[in-house]
Parts: sequence; C-alpha cells; structure tokens
Amino acid sequence: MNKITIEPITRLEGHGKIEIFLDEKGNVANTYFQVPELRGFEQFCVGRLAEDMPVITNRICGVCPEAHHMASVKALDDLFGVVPPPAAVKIRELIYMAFYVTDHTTHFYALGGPDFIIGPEAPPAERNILGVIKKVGLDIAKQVIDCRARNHHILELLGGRGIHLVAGVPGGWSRAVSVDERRQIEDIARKNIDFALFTLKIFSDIVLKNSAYLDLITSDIYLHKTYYMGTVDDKNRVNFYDGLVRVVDPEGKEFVKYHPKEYASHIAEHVEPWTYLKFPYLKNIGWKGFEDGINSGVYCATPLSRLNVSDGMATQLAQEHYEQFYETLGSKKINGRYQPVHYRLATHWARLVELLYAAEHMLELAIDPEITSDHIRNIPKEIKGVGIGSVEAPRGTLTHHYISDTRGVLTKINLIVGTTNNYAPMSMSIKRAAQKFIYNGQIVTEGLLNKIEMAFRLYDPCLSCATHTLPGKMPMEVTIRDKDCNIIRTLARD
Amino acid sequence: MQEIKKKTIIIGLGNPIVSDDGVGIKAVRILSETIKDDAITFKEIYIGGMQLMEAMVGYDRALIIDAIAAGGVVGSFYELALSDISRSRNSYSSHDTDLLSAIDLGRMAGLLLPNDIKFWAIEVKDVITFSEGLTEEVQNALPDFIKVIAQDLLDGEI
Repeated sequence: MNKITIEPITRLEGHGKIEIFLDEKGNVANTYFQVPELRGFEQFCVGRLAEDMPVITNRICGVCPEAHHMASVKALDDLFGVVPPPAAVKIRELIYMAFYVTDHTTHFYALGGPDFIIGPEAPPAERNILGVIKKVGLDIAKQVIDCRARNHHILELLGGRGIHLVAGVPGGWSRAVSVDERRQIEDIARKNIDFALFTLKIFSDIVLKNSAYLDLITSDIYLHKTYYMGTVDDKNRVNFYDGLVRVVDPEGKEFVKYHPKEYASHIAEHVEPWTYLKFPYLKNIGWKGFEDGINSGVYCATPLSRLNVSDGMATQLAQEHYEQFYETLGSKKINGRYQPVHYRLATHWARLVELLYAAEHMLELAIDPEITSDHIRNIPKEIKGVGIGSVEAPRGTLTHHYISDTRGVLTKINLIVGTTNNYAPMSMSIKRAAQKFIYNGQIVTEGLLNKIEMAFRLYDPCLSCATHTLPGKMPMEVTIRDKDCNIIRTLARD
Repeated sequence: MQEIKKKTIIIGLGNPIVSDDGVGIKAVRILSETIKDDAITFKEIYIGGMQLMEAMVGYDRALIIDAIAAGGVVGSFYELALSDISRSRNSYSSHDTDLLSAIDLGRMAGLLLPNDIKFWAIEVKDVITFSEGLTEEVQNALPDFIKVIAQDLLDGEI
C-alpha cells in the first residue's frame, strides 16, 4: 500500500499529522489525522484550589485563553453554588464579544480567507495575510491591526491583563466598568460593526461573486450531512456565552436540547488506537464509525453548526446576513426555520455572520445602563463539590467539569474543548477531499494538497488545547511512498 | 550598572506550565528583578506571530527569550537573528502567521517596530509534560543564560 504523509499541517494550531494511504491503483484507501498529546494535564490540576482554574486553564494555549477563562469561571459559579449579579454577566459577555471579534477577524484574514482571496492554487508564499493585503489593498492591513488593537485594549482594560485574563472570579467579575470606559467601549463596538460589514462585503465581492469559488463551496467535495451542536438562548438564537445546548439532526429537526450540566448524558468519546485524541459522539445515537447520516452519532460544533442549530441571530444586521446565507446556499424553510447547510466551506461565511453578531452584541452591552453598575460580585458561601461550565468557543462548544473535596481542592477534572468535538468530522472531511483529489496514482501537486488542507482549515482547529500541545514553527512535508514504503516523491514547504 | 539609552523591550516567550517551554518566561522574570532601568520594559508573551509583533510596537530594540529544540546539548545557548526565528519554539503562531510576516504586516500598517530584534534561546529537554518547574539540566543552565543575556544587553548599547 502506498502512503502519503502530510506532517505537520500548516496553519493549524498545535501539532498534527495526516497520513494518506493509497491502494494498488493509486486511489485513496484511507486517511488518518493523527494527534499527539502532552502529558499530565489532569494530574497537574488535581490537588489545586478550584479557584485557581480560570488562570491555569487559560494557559493551556495562547489561542483562545478567553474561552477557557469564561468556561472555567462558569464552572466555579456552579461549584461554589453562586449566581453572579447581572452586571457581572454583562461584563463577562462584553469581554467575550471583544475576544470573538479579534479571533474571527484573525481567522478570516490570516487563515481561511487567503484560500479564496488569493486562490487555492496559489503558491503558499503568496497565500497568506500579506497576499490578502496585496490583493485587497494596503488599507486592509491598517484595518486588521486597528481591529485587533482596539479589542485587545478592552481585554486588557476589563480582563486585568491582556491575553490571559485574570478578572473572572466565582460569583462575578473583579473589575467594574467606569462611565468613561463605557463610552470608549461603545465607540469601539461601533467601529467593530463597520469592520464586520466591510469584511462581509469583501467576502461577497471576492468569493460569492466568483462562480468558481461558489461552485467549490457548494460541491460535494466539502459536504457532510451530520448532526450539529451549538448553544442557543431562550428563543433558540445563537448565543456564545450562555444557554442550552441544542443538537439538530441532518434534516434540521431538533434531536435534543439540554443544559450543559447534562453533557455526560449526551456525549460519549470513542477511542481509536492510532491517535491520542478521543472522538466525541452522540451517546444516544451511538458510534457507527466515521459516517455521515442520521444513524451516525458524529456531530459537528462550529460556526456553521451554531447557525444550523439556531432559529436565527439575536441582532438585526446579523439576522439579515443569516437569512442571506441560507437563501444564497439554497436552504428551504421548514416549520419556520431553515434546513441545515451542509457545505463545510460555508463555515467561513458563517464565521463572518458571527463576527457581525459579536460586534452588534458588544454595542448592545456597551449601551446597557447596567454595565457600569458596581455590583459585580456575589460572594460564594458554600462548596457544592461539582461544577460544570460551558461556553461556545470560536471552535465549538467548550465544557469544563470540576470535582472538588469539601475544601474546594480539586480531585478530578474533565475538559471537552471546541476542536475535540470536531475531530471525527475533520477526519471525514480530510478523507473525502483526499479521495476527490488524489486518484489513479496521479502526481500530487502543491495546489491539490492545499485543497485537502482546506478541508480541515475550515474548522479553525486548535490542537493546542485539544491536545494540550504547543505551537512551534511547522513546516509541511509530504512524502509519497510506494507499496513497499520507499519514498518516491517528497514535497516540502517552510 | 551602565545606563541603557535605547528604549528596549525584553520578552519572555513560552508556556509557563509546560516544563522547559516556560524557560523564556522564567528568564524574563529573573531579569526584571535584577535589571532596573527606565528604558527597559519586561513582558511575558505566550504565543508568537501577530501578538508577539504587536508587543514590540514603539520600541527601538527587542530582545526575545525563548526555548529551542535544535537537537543540541540541553542547556546550550543560541543567539539568533530575526531571520533565524523559524528555529525557536514559540515565535510562530499557526493561528495567524509567522513573526516575519507579522512584522511586514505591522510595518505596512505604519506601526513603529524596532529595527534591532534579536532572540536568545536555550536548548530544552522536556516540552510535553505539564509542570511549573524546569528540568534539572535547564534549571542548572539558567543562571549562566541570564548572565549572557544581561551582558549582551549592555554590549548592544556600545
């Protein structure tokens, strides 16, 4: 059997390796997306005070520490049996929206967007954020930098420290918002809305108006009909911070809606011998292998998933773009809600609809009179011993589960991180793309490999926290071997 | 101690809870306690790419301390130019871009970035085990590593 190895994956946070096995005819027989794991995170945490977790878990990686911080403080609210005051919840949400704006912006301009704006066949040296600037214009560099800077300012201002927040505490937040700061934040939120609309226009002009790109998005290469998961509010609208976890089947019917604390009743993890990372699946459907369809427990938790499980967006402009998203991609409404879009490349567009929602919701919070309240914490008075908290990380539903003794010292922890939810769908997407692009022993070009990489890049995977590994410089090497495993061709790039 | 004239940022790069990967963070913490100069800012950064670039805005000189796994003797020191940074562990963020591209981006956007950017890296042993401590070899090498960096900081003024 011939083997092609892609290792490590470019533009993918953390370390991973793809192996593609060919049959005698040079067609793809199977693919393996392997993930290594660092050692001992659970042991590292056991024996520590539970209240240290928001600061510890946000150091798992440098990509989405804000999501870990929020899930962690929510788990502590539960563990200490305390409900934060409304102003604290609003500050948490406000800071979380600033994080989302930054994160989704970075993904679009640096990671996902270049495949479309520069083109999937372009040389890797051009298919990056500098290539985007060359194509779209120098002003975009300033806009991206400004967007990151103003939202990082909010994170630092309200989070107690930039990058790794420290202000979240059980029962609330430790830093109130002053009247002057509220004005600043309102101004930033308005700029974010303009920037999100500008970004959606770029996507419309460059991607949606290009029939070749639209054909690529709506082709069966990047299509999977699975279950979808996401958090919704009491009107079944997308919510990043709080709500119930809703799962819909491939036809869009609600399969289950549950409180995040009940996750263990609905999610189980499948183990494969060739990787350290486990594959979460819907317990009440069961693991039926890496299969699409209503009888397979595979589910997906991404921006596309969040739109698919919802009945709409909670802000006006995002709702308009949500409707345009489904209408353009040919989704029909059944019982008042759109059927799911299964084209996985549409995740890039869904991410931009979420970017707009985050910006609009930030403005809603910034102009809420309660945001400047100084009642930002309720002091915990008990230790319940079990705490579960969940948020929507940009990469999927993130759950923190802590168990402590009567002193609040941790005895067990479990994390289901955003990317982990999508491990099975990512593996399936890689296999399908490989099968579509590599057949009859043809020479594998750089462009073909990039189209296979696009199959997982759309998930915005962050293996740093999925595996607790760390980023480093990751050149890509592709080795093609004959049936005796001799190397017959190597492709590499820095 | 000689007075530093260039506005300088010294950045410790890495993850402080994954064994030797946190050596850059530990080094900058020690340096911040031993070197007191208004021209120097000490900062901890946990990821490379754009965040690392953004941390250097407004400085004349940047010195970045990181771990490296180059296959050498554990505890060896490396002085690296910006063009060598693909060899250090944390200067790259695969969630956005490499540091060189991030610096190009920043300069295109009109950010004032230092012309003088240098890395000091130390060969590490364990970067896969969660621990707040360093391995014995790296811990033993750390004092000399810090002395070399401190001297280099002064030499750079001459």
